[in-house]
Amino acid sequence: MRRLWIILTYVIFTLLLIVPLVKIFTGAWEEGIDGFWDALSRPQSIHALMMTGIIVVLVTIINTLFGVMLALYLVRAQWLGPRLKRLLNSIVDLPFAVSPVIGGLMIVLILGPSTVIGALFADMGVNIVYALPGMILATLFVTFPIMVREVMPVLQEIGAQQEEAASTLGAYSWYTFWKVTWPSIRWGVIYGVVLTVARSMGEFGAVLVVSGNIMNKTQTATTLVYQDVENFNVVAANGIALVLAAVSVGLLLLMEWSKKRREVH
Amino acid sequence: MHIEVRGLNKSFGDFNAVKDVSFDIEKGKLIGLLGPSGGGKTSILRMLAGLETPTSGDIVFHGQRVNDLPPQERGIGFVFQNYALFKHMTVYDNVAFGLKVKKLSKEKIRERVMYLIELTGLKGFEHRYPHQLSGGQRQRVAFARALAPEPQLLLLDEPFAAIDAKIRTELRTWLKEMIERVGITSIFVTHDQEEAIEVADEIMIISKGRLEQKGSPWDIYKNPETPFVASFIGESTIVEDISILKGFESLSDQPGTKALIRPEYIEHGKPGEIKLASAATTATVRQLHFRGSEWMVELAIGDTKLITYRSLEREVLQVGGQVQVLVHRAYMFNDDDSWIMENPLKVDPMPIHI
Repeated sequence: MRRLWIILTYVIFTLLLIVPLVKIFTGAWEEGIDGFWDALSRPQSIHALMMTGIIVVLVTIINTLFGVMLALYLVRAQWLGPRLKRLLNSIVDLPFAVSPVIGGLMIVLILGPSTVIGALFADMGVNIVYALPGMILATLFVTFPIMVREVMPVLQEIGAQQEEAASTLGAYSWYTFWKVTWPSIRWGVIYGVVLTVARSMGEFGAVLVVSGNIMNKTQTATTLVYQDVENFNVVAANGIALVLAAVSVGLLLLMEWSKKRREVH
Repeated sequence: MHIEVRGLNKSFGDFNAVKDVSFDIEKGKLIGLLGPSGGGKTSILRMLAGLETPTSGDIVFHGQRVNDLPPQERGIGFVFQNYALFKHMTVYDNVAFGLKVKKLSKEKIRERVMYLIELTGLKGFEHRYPHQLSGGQRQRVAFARALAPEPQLLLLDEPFAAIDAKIRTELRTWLKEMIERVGITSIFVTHDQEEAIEVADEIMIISKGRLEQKGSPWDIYKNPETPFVASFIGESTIVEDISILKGFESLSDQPGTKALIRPEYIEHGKPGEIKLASAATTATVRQLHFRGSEWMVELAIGDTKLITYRSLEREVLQVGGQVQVLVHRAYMFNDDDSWIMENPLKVDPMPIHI
């Protein structure tokens, strides 16, 4: 009986994780290296991968910066009442709880071309929805909790005493942050960066709603895969999916490594 | 550094952690803030350091009001309860931190750090990390780190709390010597009266946010000003009705007055052993506890219980036996007043002149 359960577990694990990975790999090579190469060198593929790249880089930078800052303020700020802190703390998790599609929809409803704010920006020549800024906003929305959630527990665990000690020794906040706080939280931040990159690279729902999925304009790698599948262009879809999967595996290895380092320190 | 504190208050929401505390500290003194846990001692210390903002009141260093100065500019050293060493820095870098902040030259930093490392007996440990040190060594590092930028005032929050009882005594003596050698005004917080009495020049007793009494350990022991101080310092038994004791009968007309009697105020002996027999009351030995170097004796007079000690050299008492008890003095208190009362019968009623 016990053996049966073990076998069943492995079968499910294989079916869910291993088989799709193998399938993506073989599917991408179905028409040889040329098929794979053709799929990737289509102009829309290059454009979509570039869009994904831009979004990943910008989102990761913005999220790291503000995520670390919000974590610091939520844990350390004394001017926030404990009740307000708790409220903010639970609001941070909102994007995890809300479907990304709804997140995207909210952005369209607030900043879409037919809204006041959207029209205002459009007059200044900046389109937000159905353009890159909206896609970045949508991805930011979805990935925002990651960094905060990685850094906050570390900050809580190390406590404020080392920082207070630094202040009694004459160090001001900037110096204290880099010399005292940063060395303690850096592995948490790196872990958060890896997760943010992975999540923003794979984001689909929110981006699809906000971008409108216009080829060569607002299409990302994931929405292109979606479109290729819709058009029965399975080889191309597999090719792009393989690129995304390969980066993800690389990130996974990086994540394991950073997790280990984080435990050491 | 001369320190003046006037009308200091601190409240966290509805809770008043510190209530109207005022005191002066002379330059070079070693002061112990003593009181039960949660009494507001640490809050006072943190306000002196600038880590906490007073709700009201003034803190004056050297005649200058420092309330609005951040901790960076107060010229203080702070030793935290758990040392708060920078755990990713070596001992050397920990001690050098305050000097690097001041942007001193490399040679000057090296000179000062090596001097402090030698002074605190940490030579050879410069390249260790905090997690590779024992509790006592960590405390020394914290001490050296706090002293490095040459502060005017050293604040120590429960400096011995996290150390094994065995090394604690040794470290206490060490710290006292070290502070005397450096000649720095210091304030430390403790809940251990033995520690405060042994280390401090002066003790401030803090309870429920109030300063109960300030004075030398001997002063506080001899003349406690409030019932709290009397019961907190030293050992004592509270007697509800002291008029049952010979010499204190006059107090029967003062209901509500209680007496606090220390074991060392009580003389006891077998009938005939006490010279002033007229001032002695008969008591029953209720229980005997062996305390290593002496006997702790529980005596009963009616319903009243008294505790005293008996030397091992004297004849061993029997439980249930009768002894004579002479109470030399008692600390009396009621809702309005408190005073020390000597046993009036101690003066020989019929002195014999030769």
